[in-house]
Amino acid sequence: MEVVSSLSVKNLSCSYDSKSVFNNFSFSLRGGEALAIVGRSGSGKTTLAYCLTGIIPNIVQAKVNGEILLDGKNILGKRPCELVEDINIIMQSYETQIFGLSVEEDIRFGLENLGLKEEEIKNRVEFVLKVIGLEKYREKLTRNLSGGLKQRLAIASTVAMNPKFIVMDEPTSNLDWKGTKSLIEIIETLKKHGVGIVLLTKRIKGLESYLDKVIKLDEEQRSLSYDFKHRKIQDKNSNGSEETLVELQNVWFKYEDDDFSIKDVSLSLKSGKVYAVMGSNGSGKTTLVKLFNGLIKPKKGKVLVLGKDTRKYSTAELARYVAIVFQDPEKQITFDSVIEEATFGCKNLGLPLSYAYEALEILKLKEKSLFSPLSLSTGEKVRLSIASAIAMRPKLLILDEPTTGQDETTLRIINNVIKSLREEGKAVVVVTHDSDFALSIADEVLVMREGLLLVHSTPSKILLNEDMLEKFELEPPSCIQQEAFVRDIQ
Amino acid sequence: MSNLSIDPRVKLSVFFLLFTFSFFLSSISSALILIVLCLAISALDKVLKKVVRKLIIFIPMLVVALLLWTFFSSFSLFYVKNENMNILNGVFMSTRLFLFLTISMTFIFTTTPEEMIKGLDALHFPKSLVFLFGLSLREIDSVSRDFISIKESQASRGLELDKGSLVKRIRNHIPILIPLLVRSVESAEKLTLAMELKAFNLSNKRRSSNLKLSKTDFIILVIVTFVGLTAVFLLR
Repeated sequence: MEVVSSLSVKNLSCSYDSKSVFNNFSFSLRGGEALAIVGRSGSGKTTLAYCLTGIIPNIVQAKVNGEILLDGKNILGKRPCELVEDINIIMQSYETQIFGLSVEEDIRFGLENLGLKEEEIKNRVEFVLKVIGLEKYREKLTRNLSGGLKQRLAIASTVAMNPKFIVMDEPTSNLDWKGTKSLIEIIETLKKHGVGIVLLTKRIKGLESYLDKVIKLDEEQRSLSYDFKHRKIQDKNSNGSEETLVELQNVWFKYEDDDFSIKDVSLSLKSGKVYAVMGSNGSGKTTLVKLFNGLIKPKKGKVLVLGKDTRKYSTAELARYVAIVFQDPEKQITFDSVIEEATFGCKNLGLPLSYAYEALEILKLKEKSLFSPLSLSTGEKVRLSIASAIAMRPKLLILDEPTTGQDETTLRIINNVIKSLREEGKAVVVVTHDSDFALSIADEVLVMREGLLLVHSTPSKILLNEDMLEKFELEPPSCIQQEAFVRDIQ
Repeated sequence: MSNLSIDPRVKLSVFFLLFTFSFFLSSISSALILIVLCLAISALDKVLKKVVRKLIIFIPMLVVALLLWTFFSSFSLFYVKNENMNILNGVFMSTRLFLFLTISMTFIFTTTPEEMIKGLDALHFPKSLVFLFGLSLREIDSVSRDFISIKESQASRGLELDKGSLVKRIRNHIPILIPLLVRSVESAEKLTLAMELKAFNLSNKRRSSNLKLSKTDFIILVIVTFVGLTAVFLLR
C-alpha cells in the first residue's frame, strides 16, 4: 500500500528586516489534496511559497520561525536543491524555469541533474508527457510554445522530479478560460497520482469545486466582500452626444514575416463609453489596442485618432489623446518615487503636475507619493501605472488586462476609476478575460479571434448567452457558473 | 538548416571552414567563388532572398571601404608598399569584406540558436560553456523583448524617442534603460532560483543529443572543403 505523505506547517512567521510578512500561520495537507491559500497582493503569498520550498532563508534573506513538517521531519531551512524531491514550486514567472531547447529535453534536464539512470529518466519522461498531455509537443522547441503550454511544461518538468507536494504561485493569473480549464484538469490528475497541491492565489474563481481546502492568508481579506453576484446586470443606454475618438477603417496589420494578426477590422470608439475587448490568448487583443495610439501602424487601411491619421503622428504626440496601461506595471517603473513616476507623462506633454497629484488621490496612492515604486505591492504598482496614465487626462484610456491577478481592493478602485471616466465623457477600452468584470463595467463587448473582430455587441447578448460563451471560449460569468453548478447537483 | 536538415556539427564546421578560408585567400576570384558558394548554401536553405536583402544594406559601407583601400591604404597598419596595385587592392579588400558579410548573414539566417547549442554540445565543447552559451542566448531574447515593451509603455506616456537632435534622442532613451536594467537584474536572480530548483550542477556530463551524420552531411562538408581549398590554394 502506498503511504500518503503529509505536510504540516505550524506557527510559521516570516519577516524581512523586522517588517513582518505573516505571523503564526498554520495549515496541514495530505498527498492527493489541493489547498488554496488566498491573499491580496502584498499579503505574502510568494514569501510563503519561498519558505515552503527552502528558498527562504537560503537564497532570499529573511527571518523565519516555526515548523514545516514533511512526513514528520522539519524541513525548514533546508536548501531548495535538497528538497526538489519533496516539495517543489511552479513560480509565477514559470518561463524562467524552462531550460531545455525542446519539451523533452526540458523534462530531462532536472532528471539528469538528479543523476538518475537513463532507463529511469526515460520512464519518467514518458510518464509525465502522457499525464500532463504534452505527448504531441515532445519535439517542439520550448521558445515557440504558447504561454499556457509553457506553464504546462514547467509543471511537467517539476512533476517529473517526483515531488510529494507542488506549490503553485498564482498559476491562473496569465491564463485565459481555456488555459484555466486545462490547468484544472492537470490539478485533478496530479491529485489522483497522490501529489499534494498548494495553490497561492488572489482569487479562486472557477477553481472552487476542485479544491479540498481554502485558507485566507491575511486578515483584511476576511472582512472584504466584493460580490459580483448581486450587481444588477443591464445594458447601458447611450446618451446621444457622442464624439468619435478612434476610428479604424478596414485595418490590416502584421508583424514582419508573420501572418496577419489583425484582419480587416473596422470599428469606431465613441466618447462616454466603456468597451471590453475579449477573446482567448493570441487572438490579437493587445495588437488591436496598440493600433489605437500609433504604437503600431496599419499595413492596410486607416486608424484615425480624433480625425488624425496615426501614420503621420508619433505615439508621443498621440499620448495626449490616448493612454495605454500595459499588463506588467513593472516594465515602466523608472524613477525613485511614486510621485516622479506619476508626473512623468505630464512632464513629457507639458501638462500641469497637479494632474498627477489628483490622479494619485483617485487611485488612493497619495500617502505613498514619496515611497519607492519598487516597494509597492503588485496591486499598488498597477494602480500607480493607471495613475500615471490618467494624469495625462487622455480622452481614451486603454487598460490591458487590469484585473488579472488583482485582489478585490484594487479591482474595486479600478472599477470606480472607469466609471468616473465614463461620467466625464471619456472612453475606456479594457482588454480582459474576466467576464464578471466586463459585465459589470462595459457598454459594448468586442470579441476577437485569430485577428478578426467577430462580434461587437452589448455585454448581456454575449456574456449571458451560453452558446456564445462556448463558441468564443470565454469564461462564463459567476452567475452562469453557479447555474451550471446547481444543474450538475440536481 | 531550418529548411534543410543538416547535422548541426557539420553546419558549424562548414561556417568555421568558410571563415578560415576567407582569411587565407589572396585573390579576387577566390573571394568571388566563396561568395557564390555561400549564396548557394543560402539558396539551398531557401533564405537567399533574406540574405540578399540584408547584404544590400551594406553597399554604402562597401563603397566607402573601396575608396579607403584604394586611395588611403598607405595610412593603413597593414600597408605593404606596392604602388601600382592600389585599385586592385581596393577591389580585393572590399570583395573580401563582402565575403565576410555574406558568410555571417548566411550563418545567421540558416542556423537557429538551438542548432548552435546542439552543435557545440555534440562537438564536445565543455558542458558549462555550452550551458552558459545557451543561457546567454536566452537572455538576449528576453532582454530584447523587454526592451520593446518598455519602449512601448514609455512612448505611450508621451516620451518622444525619434525626434530632436542625436544627443536629445540618446538622453530620451534613459527612461528605457533604467527599467531594463532593473528587470535584467531581477530576471538573473529568478534564473538562479530556477537553476537551484532544478538541482542544477555541473557534474552532469551527459550529452543531450545522439546525432548521426547522414550522406547529405558528408557531401556538403566535402564540397565546401574542396571548393574552399581550390579557391584558396589554386587561384593565387
